Amino acid sequence: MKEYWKNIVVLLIALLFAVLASIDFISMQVQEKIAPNQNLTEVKMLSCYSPGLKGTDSDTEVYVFDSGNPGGTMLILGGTHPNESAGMVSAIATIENLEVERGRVFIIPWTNKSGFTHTSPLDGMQDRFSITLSDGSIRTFRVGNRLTNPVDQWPDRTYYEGTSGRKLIGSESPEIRNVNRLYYGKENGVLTERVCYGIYNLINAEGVDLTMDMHEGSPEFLYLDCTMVNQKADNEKAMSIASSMALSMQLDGLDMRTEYSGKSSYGLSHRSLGDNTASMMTLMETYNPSMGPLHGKMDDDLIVNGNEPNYYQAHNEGYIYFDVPENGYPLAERVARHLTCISYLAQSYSEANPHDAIVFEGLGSYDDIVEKGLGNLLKPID
Amino acid sequence: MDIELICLLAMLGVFLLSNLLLKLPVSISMVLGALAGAIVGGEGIPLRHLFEGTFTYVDTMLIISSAMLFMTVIQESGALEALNSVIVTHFYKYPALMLIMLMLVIMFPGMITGSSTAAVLSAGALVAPVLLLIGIPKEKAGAIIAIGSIMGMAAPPINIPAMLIGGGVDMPYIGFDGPLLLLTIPCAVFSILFLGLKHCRNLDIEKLESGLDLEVGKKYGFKLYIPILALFVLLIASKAFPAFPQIGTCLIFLVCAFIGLFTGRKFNFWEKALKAMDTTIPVLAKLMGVGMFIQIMTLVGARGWIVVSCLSLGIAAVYIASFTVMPAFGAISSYGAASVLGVPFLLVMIQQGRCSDIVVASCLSFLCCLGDLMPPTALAGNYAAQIVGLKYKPVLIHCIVPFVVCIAVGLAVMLNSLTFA
Ligand SMILES: [Zn+2]
Repeated sequence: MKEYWKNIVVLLIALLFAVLASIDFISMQVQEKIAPNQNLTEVKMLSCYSPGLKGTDSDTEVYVFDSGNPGGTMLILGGTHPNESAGMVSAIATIENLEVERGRVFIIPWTNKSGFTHTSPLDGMQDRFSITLSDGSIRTFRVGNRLTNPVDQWPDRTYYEGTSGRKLIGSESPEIRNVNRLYYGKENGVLTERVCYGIYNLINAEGVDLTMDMHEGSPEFLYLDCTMVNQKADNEKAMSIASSMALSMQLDGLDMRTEYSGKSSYGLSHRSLGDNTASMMTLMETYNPSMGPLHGKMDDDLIVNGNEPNYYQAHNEGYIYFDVPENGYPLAERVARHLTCISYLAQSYSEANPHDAIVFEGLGSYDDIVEKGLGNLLKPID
Repeated sequence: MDIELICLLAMLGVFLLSNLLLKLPVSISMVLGALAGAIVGGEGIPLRHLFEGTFTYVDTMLIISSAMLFMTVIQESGALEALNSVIVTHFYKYPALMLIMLMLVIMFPGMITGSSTAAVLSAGALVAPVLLLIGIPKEKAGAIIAIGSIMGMAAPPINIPAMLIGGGVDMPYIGFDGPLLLLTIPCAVFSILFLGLKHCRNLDIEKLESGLDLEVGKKYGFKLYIPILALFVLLIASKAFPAFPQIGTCLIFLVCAFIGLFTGRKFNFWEKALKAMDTTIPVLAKLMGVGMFIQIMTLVGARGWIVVSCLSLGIAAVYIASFTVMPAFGAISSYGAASVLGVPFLLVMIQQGRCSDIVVASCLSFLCCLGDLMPPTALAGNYAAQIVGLKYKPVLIHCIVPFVVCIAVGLAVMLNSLTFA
């Protein structure tokens, strides 16, 4: 009898802690607000293009900027991997500042929305970080997990083959929750696949000409400051557009190279959407020191200021090839790099396709953004 | 002194204090160590991190639990005893072959659960009387079971330290089967022949038969083995064909366990299942504790500090530590050794280049598993000694030669990883 009561007390204490912790976890479902921009035409949901998403935690906003003038259509994806913060912040900054003059721009800031509601175990990831705006107000952003929340899609199948033919087996099986492994998606597939299908269908339905998928990687990753390019029918033309973008960035003093999508990169956006839609596909990566296994204490300094002496040391000792900056790589510089890449890409595309030009303003140059900082780039929420 | 180092020392200090001095279970000591690290690191009591770390291995824990239920069923139904009898009565003329087959039986539960404790307590307990019957002395039989269960823990398909190490460097747990078999099978074969062979020349079949339970096998015949066969078929089919219904590893174990209820001896499933879970829960708790411990190490930057310090020490120091410090860390926890040391060591070796990452990761996981022999915790060793009715010390002495051979094999493969890739 005494044992019995002891067990009940232990269970009740466990329950108390579980409830307290769950309040914290559930709070991650509240998404960031986006400041109004008078140039915004409309906000759609991705379920318009993928009905299977309706009512799920993965249905996500598509921000549409239509200039009303003829031209091309561009799609910008942020938050494919919710732990790669620069992707989401760049997308949100674009939505708050964009002014389109020719053509249309579609922006999805939380591509894997479910992934924003949890963090990756063992990584000690902070779930939020804050940025102080120029008017003194504070904006908070979530850091999520690169995979869909298991609460929304679980368990992972032992063996799964996506529409691209990528075989997810063994420990690659959790990748069944990775948006960037399941393109071009499946209308009634697993939840993550329905997100992929929504994007695939959006590209087809809206006649998207140019897509940018924004990512970040840890310094061990080989494709940093690199844009992946793929287009099946018109490979060389796509590459020459991307190369011209890279050249513009280099003239601004920014490292950037371009590479063709890997032969076996099945299921990744640049490969499988490139193979299966008419859009020119690009994917860009910046260096994010909070993602690697060498990172030190997890705090705002690491996420926002990108300050990581461990990686600088490892680079100096010859273990890391990526040229790690000594004073860190702040989020502002990473966002500036993504936005500059988008601007130059649209510009190069428009030069090559004058009838389908995509012309916009409002993002500013790299130096502008870095100098003003995120506090000025992002707008206050009323 | 770096704040990260202070955090690390606080974590290890509180862990050791709780475990060795206060005699708290490993899992609870890990929780206390994690709490200490979070407080020293200025994080207060970060509930979300404590919880998140705890749930890292929830899928693995479900697999271990269901595999334990399956083991209970095939043990109680008489399948394992019948298998022992078949091996002994058919192969007594070829003692080497017989011993190797018995060793595989000892390893089997470890292979499917990834836990040496599971291997010792299920198959080990059933093979031990057979080993004694053959004429192997108690202390050597204990050593055989201890080593066998560790080889089973390290052997594919499930090797938890390898999963922990791979998970730490974002390496999928694919392609480990080959290297792990290469490491475990020769070491297992050597160990049992070295310890057992000289005791089983000229075996007397009549004496053996009188000591074995031949009834179960005769009564139920081939039917007894159906759950084991079903397990192999389902596990292999679900990995080989995407079109095959994906019922998941847990459900496969449970389905096969259910089949086993009708293919052999009747027993009280509820009672035996509860008993099996009693022995499993400490293993699950350890996984939860390790998850919490590592989450906090990462949060406060201690993990990054260890890796960077290893990088600065240079590659030679890392290789030496991998076959000394890492197995020794098993005295605390072999899972802990894999995550705390295995991950940074692998990173250093990968960054250094000129090695096959999967083979090196397999070797590191193998060296971690050997830690389960390390006193005072010595999970595998203590349970094995208990089964043959001895204290751990006499058993441990006989483990030394196989242990050294295993270390040598692990190191040799690791240094020549490209040859075996
Ligand atoms: Zn990414």
